[in-house]
Amino acid sequence: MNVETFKYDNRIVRAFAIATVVWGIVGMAVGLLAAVELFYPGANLNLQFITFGRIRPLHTNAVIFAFVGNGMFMGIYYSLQRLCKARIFSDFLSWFNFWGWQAIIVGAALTLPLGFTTSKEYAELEWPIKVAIAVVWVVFTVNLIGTILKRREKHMYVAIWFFLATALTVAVLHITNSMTMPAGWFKSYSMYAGVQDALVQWWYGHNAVAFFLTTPYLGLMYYFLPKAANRPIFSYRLSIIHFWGLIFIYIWAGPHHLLYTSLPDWAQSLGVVFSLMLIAPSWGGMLNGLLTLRGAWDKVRQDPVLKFMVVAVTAYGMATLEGPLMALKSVNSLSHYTDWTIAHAHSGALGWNGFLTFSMLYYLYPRLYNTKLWSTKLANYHFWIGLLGIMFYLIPIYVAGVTEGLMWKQFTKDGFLQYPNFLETILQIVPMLRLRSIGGTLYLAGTLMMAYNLYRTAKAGKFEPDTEAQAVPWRQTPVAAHAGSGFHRLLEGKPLVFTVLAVVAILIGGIVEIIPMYLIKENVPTIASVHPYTPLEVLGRDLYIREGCLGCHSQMIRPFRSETERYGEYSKAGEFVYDHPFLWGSERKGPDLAREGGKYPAAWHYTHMDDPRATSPGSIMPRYDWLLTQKLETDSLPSRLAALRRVGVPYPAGFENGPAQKDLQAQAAKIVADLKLGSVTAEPDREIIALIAYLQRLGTDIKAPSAAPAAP
Amino acid sequence: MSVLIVLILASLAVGLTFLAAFIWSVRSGQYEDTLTPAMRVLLDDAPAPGGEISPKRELELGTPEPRRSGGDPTRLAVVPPHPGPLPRERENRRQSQSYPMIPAAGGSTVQGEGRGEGGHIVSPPAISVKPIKMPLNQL
Repeated sequence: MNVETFKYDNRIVRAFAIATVVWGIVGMAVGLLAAVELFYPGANLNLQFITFGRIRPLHTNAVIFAFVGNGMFMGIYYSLQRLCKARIFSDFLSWFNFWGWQAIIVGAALTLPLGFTTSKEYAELEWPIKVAIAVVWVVFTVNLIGTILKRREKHMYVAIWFFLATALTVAVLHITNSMTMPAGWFKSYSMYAGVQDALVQWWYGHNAVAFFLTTPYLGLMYYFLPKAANRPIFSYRLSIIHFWGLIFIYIWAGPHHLLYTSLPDWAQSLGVVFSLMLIAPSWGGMLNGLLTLRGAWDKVRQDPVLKFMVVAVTAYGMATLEGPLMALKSVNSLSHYTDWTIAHAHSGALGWNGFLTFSMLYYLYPRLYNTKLWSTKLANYHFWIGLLGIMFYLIPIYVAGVTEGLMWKQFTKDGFLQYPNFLETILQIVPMLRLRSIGGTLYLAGTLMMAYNLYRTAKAGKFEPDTEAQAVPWRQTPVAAHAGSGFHRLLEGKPLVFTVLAVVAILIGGIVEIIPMYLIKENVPTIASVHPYTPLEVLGRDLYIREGCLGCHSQMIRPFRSETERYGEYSKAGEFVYDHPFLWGSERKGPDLAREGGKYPAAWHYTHMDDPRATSPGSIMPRYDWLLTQKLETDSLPSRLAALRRVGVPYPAGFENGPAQKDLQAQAAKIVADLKLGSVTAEPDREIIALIAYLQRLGTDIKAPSAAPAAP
Repeated sequence: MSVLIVLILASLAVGLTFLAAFIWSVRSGQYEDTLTPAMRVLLDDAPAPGGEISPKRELELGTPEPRRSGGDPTRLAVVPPHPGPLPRERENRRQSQSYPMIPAAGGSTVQGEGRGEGGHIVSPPAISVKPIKMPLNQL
């Protein structure tokens, strides 16, 4: 019996904790700005870098990957050491993980406002940053598995399983969805096109929620909730079922983000079925968390840590019930594209992730600094103001979502749309958008109170860089004896882990090899009139992506009469074969643009982009007047066209070298002439020309007069 | 829709990896004991400074076995963790459910509304539960 003495690393936990608080405040503040811009478009001060379209991805990336990401690392680095009775595998890798992750966040904060984006939701970062994410993630995974291998506790507590699932699955998701063809340092085109890109994106998008926002936090719940309540988890058996049930079902539910789109129907149904099945493990987990507190509710009354946890677990339960319900086609036909989706996302984000992060911070700070929390009263105030903030956020935005959905679908007795002007439905919900920003303000105020409280706690206490602990290793021979022979030796000794890593490696290699081969062959249009974008349209499309237009405008008309009456013929899968990436969007704060081409004269678009309120009084769209003055960058056109050809768009060989520029100038001259008809004088080399070219192209490929009448 | 092949392969790879992990975990005896792992988590470090549970509550729960890893590591490793509050609570519940139901003056039962908040007419027999201390040589 040899008792080993070792030290837990608290420094890395503290570093991630500070980063969590700092990025949390930043991410929420950006979210608040975005919320204000939605009812007061002038809030961007007419700066292109902070228009809604560009800061919306900044907000989502900041709160998901910076706030929750750092919170996740914080919780894992703290709990993993204690669960494994071992120090983290490598201090160097820990700090590589920390600084690498912070560098990625800073990279995101710089590139997204500049308009460098792939446009794929929660995967907007351009390819150099994507590569960095993969590297840092592998480092984290190695550190995680390394620590598990050198654990002194034979049994792996359920939390560790959740962490393992997170590490493995996020790696596969990230790599599969990040297959892009670079066209310069900050531009790339998705290897997948149209429907296929949409499917991959939402397979990723859904599982990013599942394996980045849910499974790691469930692991943390299973550690911190029993610790804070000082009671064992209600049922360890149930937690095991929760884990295995969840991870086997989650990965198939992605298509529920694409109901009623051009995705094949059977794939949609598959997503629906798996989404419904998810209720069982999710609610098992929620009940397991809440029942842990039975007999300890008196503590919940006193302890802010537990208060936050109770709300977090309840929010988890609510969001995981609501999600499957929204995945029902009948519910989704109303909720999709509306603020309902935003409300659903925020009930999970503010309630589950936010509150669980706060509870972990309140739990950890006194322990890291060996003191009491500076003010329990202030923490209680934070709890109530945060809860009030959630309510003020969710209730108006649910009302707004249902209002929008119903108004879009409302017909008069005579069979005409009751609100044919889209703007009318938006103006109806503006008061709700205002109320929502009050909710966001309250939530942010609570976070600031927490930051101050934690700062004072740190000031009052003394930081303990290492916590000494003792344990008896379960192995006959301590792993330390092998350590000298290197990491690979360690892996060889563990066939299971080696197999896992080998599978991942083979998978990556396989994907890289197979994808282009399969997909390029497939991208032969089944609709004869669909042809690739012209050079000017390609550049216009890239501007559409740069400005984040798809944050508010969808390009996917669902086969409902209310939509075909409003927008035109419903979208067909064959129309998108050259769309790298797809731009269907998932939210409508403005009308759908899938059939925008030819609806308005070019001069209308020009005036509208200069000042949307000049053509649509009361519009909440920001001005894009810089498009009128900025020169269109055409130097990168050859590399862009070449990259597109490599992913399967059939531009003729050598097209990008000379003919493309000529084609571009000819089309620009034509648009300038069109503008003249509307008595607008414009230079042919401005960005607006390219954008108009793209907008006028949208949906025109199959807009033949012989098109069949709109289906129901 | 050939991208489905990619997604199905990726999902299957993940799923099969998990399946392998599941089979390994069952075979290696990870789930043979579903009671102590939940308890063990609570023992891994020192209680919060300033006490996270009130002294009164501490009294109710009894003093658990060594809570800090610095205490006596040999014992911690060998002696199964203290049963802790959960089993005892169950025991209490069973006891309380077997109380005779005597109608109170107003017609409502003792065990009805307000149960557990004091004012029992029939008080349960005093039970004293001693922490289980297993001598080393019994293991």
